[in-house]
Amino acid sequence: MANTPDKDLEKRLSIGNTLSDARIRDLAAMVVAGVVIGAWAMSVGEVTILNVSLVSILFVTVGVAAYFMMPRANHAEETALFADNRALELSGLESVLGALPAPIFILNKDAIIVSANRAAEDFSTSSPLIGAHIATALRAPEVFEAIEVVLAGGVSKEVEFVTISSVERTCRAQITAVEEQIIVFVQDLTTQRRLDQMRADFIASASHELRTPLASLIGFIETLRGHARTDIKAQKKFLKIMHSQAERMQRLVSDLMSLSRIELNEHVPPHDIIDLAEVSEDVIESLDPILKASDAIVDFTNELNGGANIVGDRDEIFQAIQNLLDNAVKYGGENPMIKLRVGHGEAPSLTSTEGEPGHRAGDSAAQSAARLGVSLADLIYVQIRDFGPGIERADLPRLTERFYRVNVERSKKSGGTGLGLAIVKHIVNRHRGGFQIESRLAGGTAFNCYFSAISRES
Amino acid sequence: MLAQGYDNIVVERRSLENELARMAASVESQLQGAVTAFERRDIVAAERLIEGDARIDEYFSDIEAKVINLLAAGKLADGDLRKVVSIMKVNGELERVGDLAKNIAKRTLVVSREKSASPNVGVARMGRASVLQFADILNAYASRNLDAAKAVWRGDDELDELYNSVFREIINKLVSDPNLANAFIHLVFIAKNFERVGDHATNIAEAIHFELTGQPMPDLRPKSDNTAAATVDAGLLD
Repeated sequence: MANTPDKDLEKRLSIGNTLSDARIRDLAAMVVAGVVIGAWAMSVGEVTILNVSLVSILFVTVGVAAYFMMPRANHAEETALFADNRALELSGLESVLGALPAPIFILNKDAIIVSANRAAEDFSTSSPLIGAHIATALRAPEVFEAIEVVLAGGVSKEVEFVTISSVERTCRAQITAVEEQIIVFVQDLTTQRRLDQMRADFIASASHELRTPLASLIGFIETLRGHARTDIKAQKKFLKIMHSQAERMQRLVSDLMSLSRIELNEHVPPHDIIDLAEVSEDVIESLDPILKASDAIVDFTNELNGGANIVGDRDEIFQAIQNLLDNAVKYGGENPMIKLRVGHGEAPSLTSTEGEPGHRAGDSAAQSAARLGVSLADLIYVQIRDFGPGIERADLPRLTERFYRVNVERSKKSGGTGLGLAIVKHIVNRHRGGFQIESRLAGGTAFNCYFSAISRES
Repeated sequence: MLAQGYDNIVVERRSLENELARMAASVESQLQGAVTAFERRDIVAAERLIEGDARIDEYFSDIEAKVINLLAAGKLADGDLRKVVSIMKVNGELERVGDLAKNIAKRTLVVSREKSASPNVGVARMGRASVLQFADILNAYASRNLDAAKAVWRGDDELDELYNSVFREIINKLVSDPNLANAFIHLVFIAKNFERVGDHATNIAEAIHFELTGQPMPDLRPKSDNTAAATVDAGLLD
């Protein structure tokens, strides 16, 4: 098995112009790739544009295979090419695998990555991939332990693992040995797994949160049927309370549903291109009645002059900005003054020389940039800042927790469900962005969402 | 042993780095598993995690022995020396995080047998934040990304702030519900363990800085764990 490169070369030269073992190996790899693509296409199931493109990929595979099978004129050139590393030998295959949306890693017998497709690069959290040990690129003990088993003489193995980032993904890796190489093929199972988890979470939260308002509604109904049966004044008062209770429950259910929906798709990155500044302006316009009702003023600044494009889901980004703006109206004090700003790099901080110092929670601009793999200047942010009483330091890191309310009484009075910021956090997570809160007592609060700018070439 | 050739040193160092990568993945998986076991009150998973720590200790001793061999073999070039020293430092930090995960799993056994208490949510949230921070620093180390390492190093106060908040919540609950005292005390330790994962992440950030620049991190990290002076809210004692 473990030939030195020199011996390997000698062997190939002696074979001469019949089909060389290297080429047979490539053919074997090609067939395996074809099977892998086929299996994947079958697992996808439905007939979609994806499937159609997969069929075309299969045709390309066949084409490349035919090309390799054709006798070639210049054997010296071929030998020189094969004498180089395996990554180059597989360059034809690489272009085929490159088009596959599922991550594929090809490893040598030391579990070092010799080739990886574009999806694998996106999937992995470290770079560069080529030349790295698989444990560096795919930090899952289940996977490299299975690879060790396959390397020790197993044929193939299938394992499940969980990736760790702001959005966890449950995946399955298929590990196949082809000659002296290992192919690692990753499938994302998150959608199926999440659905079960979300359903359980939804039922748990809904039943827990609806229990109290329902009990109180039943209490009012009993009173109305009992001693308040003839008291018109009491009836009017109770019905008003019941109405607002029912409305709160309605909001709670709708918030829980949107949270579930967002969580369900959190591992699927959005793909539309949207203008953050334009969405912000739309939100301001849509909230006009609420702004007028509370005598709020929104001061909108766009630093970017039309360059605020990000990859995003318009409805979700709209909802995130809407929740933040709505909060700023609720908690921004009397006649709230709100600043909404879109810009690039790090969002302005609530610096001040007097009063309490500001505190921060969440993802800093630098952390967001590092996670997105971009430079600080390539971040685009939207900042919503109020000048209200500010948030206690101890509450600050907990704000995005579900049902965490700083002041239960006030939150209920203003119609809060305790889910608004949790929804924002999940939306930003789905966009692989950062969410940061900065607050100063008596100075106000700023909420920053960081996203990756779309690079100018694309 | 005679001084080794340059190629040999590079091969040995690469193999060390690969072993460290496997160890890092195992530790991350243990930590992640500990958070999930705590969240789900999963006693079986917690027991498996406690056993799993032995593998990490094996990695640690093996890497340590190899580092010592490499250092004893002869003088290393400056760059190689820094890389090897950084492997040694990261090895130690990873082993400690492995111990913390094991300790969390042990306490999960106790807490899961008690009645569920509301501060669990905050502690679990700390756990998630610590896993994310640990993953961030492992990504920074794998890519030798100095900016990413610095971002983690500066971001550690996030865990400190969460710890302060959770600590306060637990102390206040302890006063109002003394029957759950046992669970609450373990919760404080679990929270503290998560907070310490953050400290080890910053130590790894310092090792990355040293490896890439040859210098220690320039400025002092703000320390904001203020629980050393924390007391029960006055109103609760009446």
